[in-house]
Amino acid sequence: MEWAWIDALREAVSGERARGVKLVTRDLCASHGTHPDFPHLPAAFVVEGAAQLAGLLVGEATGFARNVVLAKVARARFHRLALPGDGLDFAVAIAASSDEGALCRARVTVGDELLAEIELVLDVPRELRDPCNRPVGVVVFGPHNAAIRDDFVRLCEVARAV
Amino acid sequence: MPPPTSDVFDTVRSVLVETLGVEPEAVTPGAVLKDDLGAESIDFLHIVFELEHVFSIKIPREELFPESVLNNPRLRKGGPIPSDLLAELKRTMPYADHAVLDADPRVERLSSLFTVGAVVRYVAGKLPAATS
Repeated sequence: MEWAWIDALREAVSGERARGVKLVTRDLCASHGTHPDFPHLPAAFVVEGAAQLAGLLVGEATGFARNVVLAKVARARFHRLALPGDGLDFAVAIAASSDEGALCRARVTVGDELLAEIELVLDVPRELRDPCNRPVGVVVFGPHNAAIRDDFVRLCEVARAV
Repeated sequence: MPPPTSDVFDTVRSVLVETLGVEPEAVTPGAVLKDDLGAESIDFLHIVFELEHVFSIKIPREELFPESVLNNPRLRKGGPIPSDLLAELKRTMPYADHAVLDADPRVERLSSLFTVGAVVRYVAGKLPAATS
């Protein structure tokens, strides 16, 4: 994860579910150059939000000891566009998991309105290789993203304590 | 509650239609997941998760798709499958049809083990016996 797309975490229950938010700004929409006359956040970036939250959820469950890779967008159904001013609320849950990976389901809402339903398969590879086929160590949630990783861990600890 | 055994094929077909994005007509008992239905390696993990969910079963790692045997370094592309590995495959995958490998034991033929029928037989074996 080279950049944190989720603005803030709202809930995290270890190994089960997580909630996070992403605020959509006009500048953000314009920067992608998609439909300049009708600024909206491209759907792929909505999927990215769900994938990052799912990655945190699955990574935390394994103590962030191994890389977590988005392997497949199994399903993504959009009910409307993400528009400037929207506060995207991502609710991600682990539907199934093993030591090889996880199947996660996400619902993205804006207020009471359903924006998207997304199903993701995340892989937890035993060995990760770069494009030159060289082994890569554990790189997920490195120093650049330590804050969101630590927030996630803290929320899980709070949930355990309740 | 898991579906009765007689419905296993229909349910497996639904799972494969969803996970692989294929037409229901393409999912026949003899269809090979990789060669005929276009399954890629990550799809096998996805299929396992969906089967576990719809049938309420647990599929231990390596049981349905025994990677350790399939990724054995002794298996060389274009080469024959050593007889002891063939025997190991028969032992670990009793639900698969090994006829193709028996006739032509080459590494390229390994995918023939992973048919829709093999998945159906595996799942049926995991379900409680149907009550009459």
